Amino acid sequence: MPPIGAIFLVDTTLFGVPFPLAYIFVVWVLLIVGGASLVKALQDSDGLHPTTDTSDTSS
Amino acid sequence: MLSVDILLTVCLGYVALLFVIAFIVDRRSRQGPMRWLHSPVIYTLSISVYCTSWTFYGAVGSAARNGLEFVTIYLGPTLVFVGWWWLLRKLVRIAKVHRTTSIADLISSRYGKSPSLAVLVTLIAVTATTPYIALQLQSVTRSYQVIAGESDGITTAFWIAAGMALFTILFGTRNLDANERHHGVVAAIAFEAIVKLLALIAVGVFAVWGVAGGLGDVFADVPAEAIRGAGDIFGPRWVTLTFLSATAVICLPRQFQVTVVENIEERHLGTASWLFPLYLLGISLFIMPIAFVGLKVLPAGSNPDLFVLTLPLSEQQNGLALFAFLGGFSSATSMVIVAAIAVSTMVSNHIVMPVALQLLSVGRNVRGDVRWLLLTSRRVSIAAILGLGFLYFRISGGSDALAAIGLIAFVGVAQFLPSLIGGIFWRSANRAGALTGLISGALLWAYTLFLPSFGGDFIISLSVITDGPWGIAALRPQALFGLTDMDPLVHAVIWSVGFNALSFVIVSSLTGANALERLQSALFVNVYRSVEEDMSNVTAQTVDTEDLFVLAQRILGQAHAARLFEEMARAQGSAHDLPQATDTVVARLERELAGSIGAASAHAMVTRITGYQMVGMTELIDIASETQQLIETSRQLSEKSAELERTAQELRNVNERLRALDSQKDDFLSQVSHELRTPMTSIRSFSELLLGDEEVSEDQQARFTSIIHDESQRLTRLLDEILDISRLEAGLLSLPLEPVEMHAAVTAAFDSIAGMTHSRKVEIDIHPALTGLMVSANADRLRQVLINVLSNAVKYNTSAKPRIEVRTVTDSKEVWVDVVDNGGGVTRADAATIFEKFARGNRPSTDQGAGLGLPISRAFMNAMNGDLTVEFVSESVSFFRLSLARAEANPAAAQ
Repeated sequence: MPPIGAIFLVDTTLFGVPFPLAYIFVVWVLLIVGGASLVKALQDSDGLHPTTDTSDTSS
Repeated sequence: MLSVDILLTVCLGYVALLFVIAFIVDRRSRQGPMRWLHSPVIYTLSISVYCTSWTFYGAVGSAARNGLEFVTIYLGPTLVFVGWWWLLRKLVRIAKVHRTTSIADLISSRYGKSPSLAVLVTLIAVTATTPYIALQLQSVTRSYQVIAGESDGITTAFWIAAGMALFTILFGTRNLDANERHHGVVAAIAFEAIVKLLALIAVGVFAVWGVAGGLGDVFADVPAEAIRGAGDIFGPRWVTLTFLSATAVICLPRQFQVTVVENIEERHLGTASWLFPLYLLGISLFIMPIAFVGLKVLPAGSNPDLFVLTLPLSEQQNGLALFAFLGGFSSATSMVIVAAIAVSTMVSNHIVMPVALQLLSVGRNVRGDVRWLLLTSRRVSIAAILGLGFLYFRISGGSDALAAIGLIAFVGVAQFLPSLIGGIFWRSANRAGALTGLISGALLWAYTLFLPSFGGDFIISLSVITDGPWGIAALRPQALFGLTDMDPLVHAVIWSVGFNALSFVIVSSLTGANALERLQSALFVNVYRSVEEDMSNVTAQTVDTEDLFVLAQRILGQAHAARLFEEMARAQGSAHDLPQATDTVVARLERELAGSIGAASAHAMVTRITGYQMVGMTELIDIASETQQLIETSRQLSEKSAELERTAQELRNVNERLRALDSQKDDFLSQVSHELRTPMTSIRSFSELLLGDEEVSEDQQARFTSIIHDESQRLTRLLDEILDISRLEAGLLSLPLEPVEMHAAVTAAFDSIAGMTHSRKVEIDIHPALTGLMVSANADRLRQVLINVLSNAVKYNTSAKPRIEVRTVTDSKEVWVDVVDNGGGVTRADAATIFEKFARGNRPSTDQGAGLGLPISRAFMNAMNGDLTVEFVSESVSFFRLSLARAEANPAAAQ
C-alpha cells in the first residue's frame, strides 16, 4: 500500500471517532461524490447512452 | 429469549410477505412493463445481494477481531463501481447482444461457444458457492439458536436449507424466461436489501446512543491496535482483500446474475455506480461501533459474529433483536436464492441439458418436452446446490469464523477474472489459454485454500496440511514451494490467481484459435461496433423450418415460439405462419434459444438440425474489418504520402521553371534595351550633328542621313523580329501552309542577298537541282528563313574564297536542305546556344545582328511542321539543315 495511507494512522480522534476510521469513511464519501459527479457529467454530455432493452420479451 | 412459536410465526410471515411481493410483481410484469421495477434504484438494491449474512453478522465479528480490515470487503466493490463501471457496462452490453444467461455462458460463448469451458466454469462456481451457502445456513442457524435457545443446529440448518430451496424453486423456476430474468425475485431482493440495511442501522443506533453514550463513549479507551487490527493496515493482506472483493463483485455468479443478466437498461449502471457504494457505506457505518460496544458490554468470550443479536437481547430489547434477526435472515435468504438461481442455471444449461440432449437425442427426429426437462433440471440443481451447502456446513462443523468461509468463495470465483477480462479486451485470448488458466487456478485454489478449510476432515488430512504430502515440506498447502510466513489467504491468491493469469497469457500467446473463437473474440472485444448486427450468414444450408419450429416450441414454449416465428415471417414479408429458413432466421433462433439454455447448448442444438457451423456475415466482417482497416489505413497513408511528395516535387519544378522564366524575362528585357539603344544612339548622334551649329559638308550630310536611314531600318527590323518572336512564343502566329517549290524559294533567297554574295564573290553550288521538288511551307516565311541562314553563311564566312553549297536529300515524306559553307562552321559550344534569343556565335563578322534571326527562323520552321538544326560532319565541320514535309505539286499554285 502506498506510504500515504500510513500518514493517517495516527492515534487521535475526530469528533470522538478514531482518526484512521474517520479518514477511510471521508475518502469513501469523496469517492461516492466524485463518482456521482462523473456519471452526471457523462450523462449530460451523452456519454452514457440510454439503451432500451428490446430483448425482454417476457412482458 | 423469544419463544420459538413467535419466531417461527414472524419468519413464516416474513417469507409469506416475500412470496406476495414476488408473486404480484411477476404477475404484473407479465401484463406489461412496471415503471417502478424499471427504476435504477431497484436495480441498485438488487445488487446489494452482495451483502449477505457474512456482512450482517460476520463484518461485526471481523471488526471485533481485526479492526478496520472489514472495510476492504466493501472498498473493493466501491472502487469497481466508482472507477470501473465501464467494464461492467461492457459486460452488460455483451450479455444483451449475445443473450448471456450466466458467467459460465459468457466465458464459454466468448471462447468459441465451448461446452468444456462452460462445464469447467460451472464446476468451479458450484464448488465456490457451496461454502458460501453453508455460511448462510450457519449464520441463520446460529442466530436462530441465539434467539430461540434451540440446540440442535444440524436439524435447524436442514430445515432452513429445505425452506430456502422451496422458495427458490417456487420463484426462481416458475417459468423459463427468454433472458433468464426474474422480476419477482428482483423485487423481493430489493425489499430485503432495505430490511437488512434498516435492521443493521437500527442496531447500530441503539448500540451507540442506547447502550453507549455516543460515538466518543464508544471509542473511549479503545486501544489504537484494536482499531488497526493485528495485521498490518494497508499491508499485503489489505491489498489482497480489496482485490478479492473487487473481483467478487464482478465474478460471483449471483453478482453477475443481478448486475449483468437482470439489468434492464444499461444507463442504470450510472446510478448504481454511486448508489451502490453509498449503500455499502451505509451498511458499514455502524459495524465498528456495534463491535466495540459489544466487546465492552457483553461478557468475555461472547461470539462477536453474533453481537448484532446478542447486544439487543442483553439489553432486553426483544423487538429490536427480532428485527435484527429478520435483517440477518433477509441477508441470507436473498443470497441463497440468487446464488441458487444463478448456479442452477449454469448446472442445468451446461451440464444436465447437454447430457440429457445427448441421451434423448432431442433434435431432428425425436420427441421430448425440453421445457419440462429444463425446469426439472433446474429444480433438481437448486435442491442439489443447497444440499451441497448443507453438507459443507455439516462436514466443516460450522466452527470457523464467518469471514474466513466467505473469503474461500471469493478466491474461488477470482479464478474467472483472467479469462473474463482477457476475453472482453484481448483479441488473442483463446480457449486453450482460458482452459489452462482456469484448471491450474482452480486446482491451486482447492489445494491451498478450499481443502485445508475442512481442517483435515475432507480429502486431505491434517498431517498433509502441516507437513505436506509424504512429508515433503515444499508441498505444504499453505506454504507452497517455500512461500512460508505468509497469510494463508495472500498465499492462496498469489499461487492460484497468479498462476492462472500467467498460464492464460502464455498459452493464449503460444497457441492459435479456431475460426469460431476468432469470430467470437471480434464480436466480444468490439461489442460496441456490432450491436445492431445483421446476422445474415454465409452458410448455404437447406433446413426445414418446421424442424426449427419444433425445436423452438420445446425450449421457448408454444406461444413464445409461435410469436417469434410469426415475427420473423412478417419481417420476410411472407404470408405464411412460418418464415423461410434463411441464415438470418437460423441465427436469430440460436440467439433466442441461447437466452434460455446458454450459447453452447443453443449452438449445439441448432447445428445439429442445420448440420452446419453458423458463421455470421457480420462476424466475418468484424473479423476481417480490423485487418482490413489496418491495411486500408496504411494504404491511404502511403498514397497520401506519395501524393504529397509528388505535389511537392511539382511545386519545386514549377518554382524552378518560374525562376528560369523570370530570369529569361530579365535577360530578354536587358538584351532588347541594349539592342534598341545601339541604333537609337547612332540616330541621335548623327541627328545632333546635322542639327548642330557646326558646318557639315554636303557629302557628310548625305553619309549621315544614309546612316540614320540604315539605323532606322535596323531598328524597324529589330522591332519586327521582336514582335515576330513574341507572337510565335505566344502561339498567336499561325502560318497557312501550301506547296512551295523548293527551287524557287532558294533562288529567291539568293536573289535577296545577291548584293552580299556579289561583293564577297561567293561561289554558289546547288545540287542536285531542286526543280519540281515541292515542300509544305509558307512561301514568305520559308524565304525569310533561307535568307537568314544564307546571309549568315556569307556574313560569318572568313574564307578568302567563300563558297556556299546547298544540298538536298529527300525521301517519300521529307525534304532535308543542307546549307554548307567553307567558312569554318559553328562550334559545338555555339550550337548549344545560337538558337536562344540574343545569342551570337563566336565567329567574327563585320555585321552582327541582334541575335534573333536563328531563334525566329527555328520558330518559323517549327510552325511549318519542320525544323532548323545544326549538323556536325566532324568536330570542326558543321552545317545548317532545314527539314520540311514533302508536298504534292499544287496545280493551281504551279499556274
